[in-house]
Amino acid sequence: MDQIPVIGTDANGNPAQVEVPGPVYSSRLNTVLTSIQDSVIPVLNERDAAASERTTAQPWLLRTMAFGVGVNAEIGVGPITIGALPRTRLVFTNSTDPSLP
Amino acid sequence: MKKFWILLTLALPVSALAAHDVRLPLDWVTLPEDADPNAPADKAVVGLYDTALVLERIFDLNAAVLDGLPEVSPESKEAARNHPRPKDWTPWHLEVFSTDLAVTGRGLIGVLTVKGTAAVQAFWRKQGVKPITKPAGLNDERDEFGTGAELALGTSDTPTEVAASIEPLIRAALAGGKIKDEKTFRASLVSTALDLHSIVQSLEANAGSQWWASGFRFELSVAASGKVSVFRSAGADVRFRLEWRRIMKAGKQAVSTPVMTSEVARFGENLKAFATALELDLEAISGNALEKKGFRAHTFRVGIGATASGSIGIGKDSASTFGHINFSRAAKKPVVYPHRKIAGEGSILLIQSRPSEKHLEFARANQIEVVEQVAYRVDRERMRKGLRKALRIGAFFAERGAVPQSKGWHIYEMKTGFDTSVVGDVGLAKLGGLAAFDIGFYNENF
Repeated sequence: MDQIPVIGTDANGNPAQVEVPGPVYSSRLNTVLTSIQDSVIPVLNERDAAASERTTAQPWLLRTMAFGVGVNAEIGVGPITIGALPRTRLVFTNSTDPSLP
Repeated sequence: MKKFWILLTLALPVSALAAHDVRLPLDWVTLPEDADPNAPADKAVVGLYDTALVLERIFDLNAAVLDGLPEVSPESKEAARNHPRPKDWTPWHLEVFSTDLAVTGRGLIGVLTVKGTAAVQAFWRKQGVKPITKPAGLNDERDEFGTGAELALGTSDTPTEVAASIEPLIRAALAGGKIKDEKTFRASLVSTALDLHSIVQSLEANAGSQWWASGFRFELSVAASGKVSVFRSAGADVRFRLEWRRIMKAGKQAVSTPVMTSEVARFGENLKAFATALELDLEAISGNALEKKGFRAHTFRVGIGATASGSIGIGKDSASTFGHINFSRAAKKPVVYPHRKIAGEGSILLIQSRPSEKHLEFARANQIEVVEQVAYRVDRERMRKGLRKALRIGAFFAERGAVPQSKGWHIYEMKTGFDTSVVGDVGLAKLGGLAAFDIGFYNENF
């Protein structure tokens, strides 16, 4: 058995469970994490570089950024569909000793 | 054809559940007062073993995905060489990933999607990076908190510092245009915050317990008139969340004796009695055999409610809960077993704003005194029994997280949320419910 149970609420607000194959779960999670990381880190790096090149003093330096991830896609069949992806939170940092939110 | 196992937890009878049905024991999720005595016997196989396999499979898949992520692009390392950086600077990278698991009223467990309350949260970090601080607050989204603002304060702040810290919140609230009387609002908020600050400062650590109150959160409601209330108000236009954090045990700090009015002092005394009772209860259930498996409970957060007469107890639902207290204990120190018998007498209040008749009847049938129609007086020993059960359930999930998933990413902290019964029993927080308290476990084998 390689089914991953996913729980959410259906269109009527009732608790519902859908099982998805493990490879499908991995594939979707990988797609989300990769796309977010590939989108976020270049922007943060550019921001760091731009801040370093400024001649005026910078009172604040961005060190940590947190993302709550919830994608509005659905899985299931017939009337029973729930959110397709796990709810998660990603924290990015540019510190070896981060103060986590 | 894609094959999905569809399980609608409420609509389908138990016998119709699929063979892959993996469920938790019902007494882990159903509080005694909510159990249906006329329900047919549960024939489904309740398999903790199967549940454990599913959890480990979820964690394995998460670890594999996380390990497959590219670390840092070469460009960012180049940028690091070309520009001056702080000493602790390192290229931007993913530091924490969280996995939320949910439980339904029928005991079904699975990965939580966008909506709902998480019963279990696992926080991942990459092995090799020593965790410095825990990611407190990552689960704040479970709280029902409307329009408002949040401010963190230190218990050692002076009244002047507290008032100064609040000023930006006052301006932000006034800019929203919902508060009509600025003078009343300003005076009321500052006065309320200073009263709460005095109460928090006056709470000393209990020398007989490893646990201490490490944080206090109060949610304030503001009416359009500008009047600020500590207790939740259904028609509040603006809400504030004030939070005090105590970094070390209060007993090691210089605690001043703040000046308080008699009303505030009484509220403070009731809060202190409540906090002390829970510190002793946590102490009584500490040192269990489960800690030999590598996880050690280090935080305990409980919702606080109050009766009309000012008595303090556990807030059972969101309407009754006006704040939270966090209790902490050192995660790395050896277990200190209590050397004296801890008093088990007395009771603790469990507060529910709109209790159902079924709950009231159940409480009376179990010799639970109902106070002021909104509070159940639960025997301390019963509450401790419930807390022991919560630790056992939390440890079940923590043990799954302790299994090494990969060479890279590992779970370094887990939190488990619980609802509380009117007789002191506990059950996992359900998808559509609220966690009256949650327990955090550090993975000391991380």
